[in-house]
Amino acid sequence: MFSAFNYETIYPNMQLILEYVELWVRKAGFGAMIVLIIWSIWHLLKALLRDGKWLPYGLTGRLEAEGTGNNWRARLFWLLLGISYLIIGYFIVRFMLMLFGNGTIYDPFTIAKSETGVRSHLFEDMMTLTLCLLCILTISIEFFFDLGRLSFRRLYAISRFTIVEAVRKKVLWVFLFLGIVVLFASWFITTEKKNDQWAQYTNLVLFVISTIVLVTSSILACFSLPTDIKSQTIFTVTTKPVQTIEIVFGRIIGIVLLMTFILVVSGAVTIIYVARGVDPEVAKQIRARNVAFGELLFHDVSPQGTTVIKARGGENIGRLWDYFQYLSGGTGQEAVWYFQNPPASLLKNKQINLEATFDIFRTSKGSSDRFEQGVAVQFYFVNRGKWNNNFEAYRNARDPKTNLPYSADEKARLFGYYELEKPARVYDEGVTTFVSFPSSILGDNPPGTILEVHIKCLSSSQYLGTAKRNLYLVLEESNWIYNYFKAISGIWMYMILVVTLSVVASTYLNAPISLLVTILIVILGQPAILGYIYEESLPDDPINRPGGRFFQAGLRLINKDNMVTPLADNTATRTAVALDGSVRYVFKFVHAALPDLDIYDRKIFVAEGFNIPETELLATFIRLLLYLFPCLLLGYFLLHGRELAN
Amino acid sequence: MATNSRAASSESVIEIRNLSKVYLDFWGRKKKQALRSLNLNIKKGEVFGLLGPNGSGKTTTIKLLLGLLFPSEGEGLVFGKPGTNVQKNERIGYLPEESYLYRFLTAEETLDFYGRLFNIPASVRRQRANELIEKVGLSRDKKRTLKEYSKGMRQRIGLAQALINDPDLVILDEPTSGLDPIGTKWMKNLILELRDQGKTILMCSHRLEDVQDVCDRIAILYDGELQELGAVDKLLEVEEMVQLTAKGMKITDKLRSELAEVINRNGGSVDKIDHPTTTLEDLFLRIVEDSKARPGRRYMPTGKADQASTK
Repeated sequence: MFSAFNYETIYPNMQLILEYVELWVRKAGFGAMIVLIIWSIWHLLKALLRDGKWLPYGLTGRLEAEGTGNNWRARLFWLLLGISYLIIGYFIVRFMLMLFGNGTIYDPFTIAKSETGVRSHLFEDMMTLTLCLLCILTISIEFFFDLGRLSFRRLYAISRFTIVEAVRKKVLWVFLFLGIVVLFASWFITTEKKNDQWAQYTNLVLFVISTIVLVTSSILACFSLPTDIKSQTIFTVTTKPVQTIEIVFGRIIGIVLLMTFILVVSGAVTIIYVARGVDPEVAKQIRARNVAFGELLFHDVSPQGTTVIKARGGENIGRLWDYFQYLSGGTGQEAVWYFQNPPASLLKNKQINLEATFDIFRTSKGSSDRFEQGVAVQFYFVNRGKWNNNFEAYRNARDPKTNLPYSADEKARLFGYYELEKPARVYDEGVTTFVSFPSSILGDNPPGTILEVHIKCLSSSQYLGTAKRNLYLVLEESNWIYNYFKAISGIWMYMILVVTLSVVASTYLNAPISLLVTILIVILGQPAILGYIYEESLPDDPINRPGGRFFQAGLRLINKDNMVTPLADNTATRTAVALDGSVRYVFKFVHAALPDLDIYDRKIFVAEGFNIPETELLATFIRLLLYLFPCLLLGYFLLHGRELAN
Repeated sequence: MATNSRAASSESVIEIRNLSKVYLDFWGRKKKQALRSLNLNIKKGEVFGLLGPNGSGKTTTIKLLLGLLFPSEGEGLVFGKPGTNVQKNERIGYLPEESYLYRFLTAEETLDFYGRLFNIPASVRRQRANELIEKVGLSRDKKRTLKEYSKGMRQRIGLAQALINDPDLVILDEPTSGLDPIGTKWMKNLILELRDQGKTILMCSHRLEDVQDVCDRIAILYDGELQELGAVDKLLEVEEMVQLTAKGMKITDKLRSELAEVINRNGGSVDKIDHPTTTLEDLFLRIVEDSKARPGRRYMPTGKADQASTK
């Protein structure tokens, strides 16, 4: 019933989270540094031209307002600001030296690594990181001070109030719509293909839940604060000892709590509905498989036996979507999945099960039943630490005591190698190929073990499409109900993001505009658009993306040049290249500022029977918090700087 | 006029120094100067009134003190702290002009919500909420949502929320707005009661008689500028005229001429000798009280209003 699914999303995981945090510090710190510089210039200009008052204490100047007696908070702000400017000065000097000296210019806002993956420029790296942290701390110091004064009783009061407001304004009636979907969903389910029932039901139900929850929560969040400000009811709140941070957090927490309750109830109702709605046979097969994915590389083995390893390999068959990479049948092309440190649980059983799906591109006519026949694919498995490439010894090996051939298990253990006796027949996309091999190939599976799964297309003139996530080792199974709720937790995180964005937008904008801004951010955060923005932020690549960007393309249009003809070396070209280069940084900034919404959508895992790893959810949550921090900071300053009665 | 006026303490509760407010448009251009270099000092225990026509800067001053607006120049300190300081709000109770409250909450819930914002423990909160509901006369309606309340009832619960923290300074923006004469009288009595408890009160109002009745000192603003400042009784005193009130006699021609003679002998001249009139407010309150005491009482066209009865 379940097969692999094609996806390119790289979900957050705990192995990469530290590196992600560091990159976040660099990006956020760079943004904070720009804010600090603009803020300093603005106040210095104001001092020179207008009031003669120098830099205020804190970004909003409120640290000065608190300044009765020993104002250590204001002093700390100044200290942080001073050290930040010292480091900025160091980088300016260094940059000038590089610019006018012979050295290369080091980009301090990326993690510089050598080809072997080792950090280069370690000193500068640490200096940059320190600068970024200091800048973040300097601009957020007032926020942190207010955070320290946060009263949980007030926070609870505002959250509770937000919930009561939503309930009494009958916002929850919108969830009757969910009931209607539950009543009539079966109209949209094609019951002819039993195998697709589960995927159709779960996709539909999770889509409806996420849409209703996200739309309702963003409307609630966008309208709550502006309505309060417009009706001036907020005057009776802000004239109490309530911190701005408590108003922002209280609103967010209230809406999030209400929506969490609704999500849990909706999840419970729909899971019963789906489990009862699918065919009883299908219901018995619902799974939540744990799988191990490997890294995919391509080997080109020449007839002489030399091997060239490539990140992308095979042939280009002319498809625009380059998710699959195609091995040419009957050649030395191999796709190899590397499983570093395979999970210990694989040793529990004698056999390791592997599942794979492929895409087949045919260049020759065959009999009418060629789809049923599939193509021949050779699988072989290598324990890289043990296998010595001695095929002859492997094939002729016999037990010296009995002089009989070794069993498959024994052979795999001895040689760290195993190949299928007969090539497997694999079929078009959507049909899963099941292969088993002895777990003894891993030996005791010591740390550092690398298991390689090699495949080779044997059918000449056929092309076998392979992709990283379309082959995996099957581990133990998890509870599918728990997995369903894990998918709902993805919606929950998405909802927190939308609510925060909406509340932050509404601290400054009116309700309809806040809603529009939130919708715009959600649209821009969709994978297709975010992917486009990311591509536009990359440096020029004349080979893979010929023609240049907007200005160079414009120049080509005017000159009637084609995409690959080099542009003439003149002022117009140099200007166009420079402008394109600048636009790239705008895209880079926009890309850094937008949320990656794809990481929250886990419907497909449930639909295709894959368990969602808890560690991935945790990493996703950490990424969410990191994204929300600058948003909350922005909301805090916007509400602080706003004259509510104006 | 305040009958029980007390000497205010020398301790300043509100200090306004050179306070100005200019409203700017999106491009930072001057739209309106709402307040110009205002200087005021309000002492502890005073009932201080801000008077002025619409747009004179009364509400702007209050909003600047509460941090709802930011000053363009100068400063307004409450308990020595600027308007933007949140901690000072612990000691302030504020009744906004229109009693902007959440209409989906009941009176009980409203006071509970605002009490929580002051971090008041649950038991104290409940007790104080009940006392205040009793005080503002809404005990029978405490379970109804505010959207079912009349404007006067909302003003009462608005005052209750302003007092939930037992504040040292009560700021009232048009406290009698929307109240009927009975409600107005009640509000004025409450203000005087608060003053007697040692609280400082800053109020602004259009209703001059209300200000006259309760305020110790007033400031008159016009077009954002301070025009007059001082004690109410001093400001209202007409020094060149003398008023004498006596009871137990009727005005006769003889009395008129004798009084005129005495006044002329002392260098003055008679302006008017007449029976004093009561205020319309007093008349109205007396009739309402009378109606309560004598159910069925009604106006008889043949007789005097105060003598009409059902007999």
